[in-house]
Amino acid sequence: MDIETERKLSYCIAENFKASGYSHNFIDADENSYTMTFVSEDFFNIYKLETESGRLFLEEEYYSDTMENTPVILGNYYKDSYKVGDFYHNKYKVIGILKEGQKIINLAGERSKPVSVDSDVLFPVKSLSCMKQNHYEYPSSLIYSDDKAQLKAINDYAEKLGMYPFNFISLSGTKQLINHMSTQTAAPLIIISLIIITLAIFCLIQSAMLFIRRNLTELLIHRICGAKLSNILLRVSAGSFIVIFTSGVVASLIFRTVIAATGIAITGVAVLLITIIPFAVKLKRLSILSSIREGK
Amino acid sequence: MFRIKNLTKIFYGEEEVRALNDVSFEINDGELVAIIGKSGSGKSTLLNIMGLLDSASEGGYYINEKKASSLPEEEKARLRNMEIGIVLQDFALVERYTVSQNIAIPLIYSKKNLNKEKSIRDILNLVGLSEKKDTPSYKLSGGQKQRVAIARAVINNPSLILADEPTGALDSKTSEEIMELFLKLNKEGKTIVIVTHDKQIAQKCKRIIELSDGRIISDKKSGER
Repeated sequence: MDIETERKLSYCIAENFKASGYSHNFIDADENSYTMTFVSEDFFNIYKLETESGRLFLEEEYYSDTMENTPVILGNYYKDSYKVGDFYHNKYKVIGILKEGQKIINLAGERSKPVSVDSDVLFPVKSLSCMKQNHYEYPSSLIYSDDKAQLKAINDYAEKLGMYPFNFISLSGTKQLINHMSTQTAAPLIIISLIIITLAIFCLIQSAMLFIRRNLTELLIHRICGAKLSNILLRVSAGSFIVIFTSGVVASLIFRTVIAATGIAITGVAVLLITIIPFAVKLKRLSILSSIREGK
Repeated sequence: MFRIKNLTKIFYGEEEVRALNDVSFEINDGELVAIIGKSGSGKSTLLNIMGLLDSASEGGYYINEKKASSLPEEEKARLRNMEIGIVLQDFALVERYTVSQNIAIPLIYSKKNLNKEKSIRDILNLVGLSEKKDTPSYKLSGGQKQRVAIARAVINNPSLILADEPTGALDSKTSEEIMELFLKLNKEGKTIVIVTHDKQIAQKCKRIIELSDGRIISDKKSGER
């Protein structure tokens, strides 16, 4: 590919970072961490950052294929440690140091909040081949163009690099794909969740019914001795309440929302009521003494 | 005082069955009454209604002039707990409970501020089962089980004890022992109503009410002809 197309490609890709600057954390050989902010050639058109010393990037510096002597611009935090002409981490040539207190919007990080660049290291965006070679983490990009020939060139180049282009006629098509992919991902999870919930409800009902069947005589004896209907129902549902409470606690720990825990608790209580109410109605109409005799 | 007034109980099934038909009588405090009759005469139905375990189709049942038969369910449960003790032919014990656990069942629902351990100990002394306190009920003999049932019936010091064929499952010697226990409780002032088909048991009571086909056909003191 000729340099012009590659440049346009890089430009288009860097559009993704145009308004933000894509930041990435690194750890050097001495286990010091530092943050690189990758910026495109439009970055300084949008963010009117100024240098305290040195200069900003030249146009050709954005498109170099090699990493050697890559120029970097340091935030003001580094001014006591580095000066223009020094090598940052012995690799990157310092060409400028920014003035103190300047900010950008970092959409990749804390969205729409201004963040200081005082401790940033600005790095000019390289071409795709170079970034891939150096195993840079590269996010997906949205590229818009009216030029179909240009789009075809981009597609061909992306395929050559082993990347996966998706083509849409419009942004609404993009939105449809994203929705479709989200649904595809979510649908199996929803189905599995519903199956698990159904089984759990079934188990809850079964355990309550089993408890009632096994302990009916005992419950009726308690009735003879003065237990109210509510006392009996409490005995029957005590075990289930423990299960429901535990489920609510687990749900709140997993989902970290009160809504999930409340939803599970309400479902459990509703299921319990569905199980218990018919038993309560039957118990009220039961001939206690006859039932005890039959149970014996 | 306990009063039954114009009590009628109808069971609706394939045929309408009048288990009790316009039954009326009074029982004064401290009486020992036997209700006798053949099978199907309505004895157990009457006992169920007196024990607030069933409701009448017509008529009323009064405890100390208060119409117990029309009380709400919660109030009936309270009366069953505090005022009425019930002893059944097949003992109605929870087999896996120990003797003391069975006796303590009414205490669970009692609002009395009792020393539960002492109450159980005293009752066990009364019925002669002190050494069986922690014995599982399934290990007891029939007579012992019935003693436990009686102990459970009196633990809350009720004013009325209802016993439905209390000696029906026991041999004659054990039946004698159980009746002695009832007589002892009656001497202490308990009002006791025993439903039985055994005339010998009935003769030990001071008053005998005889039922037939849901009606009272005789109500006289024991020994009267």
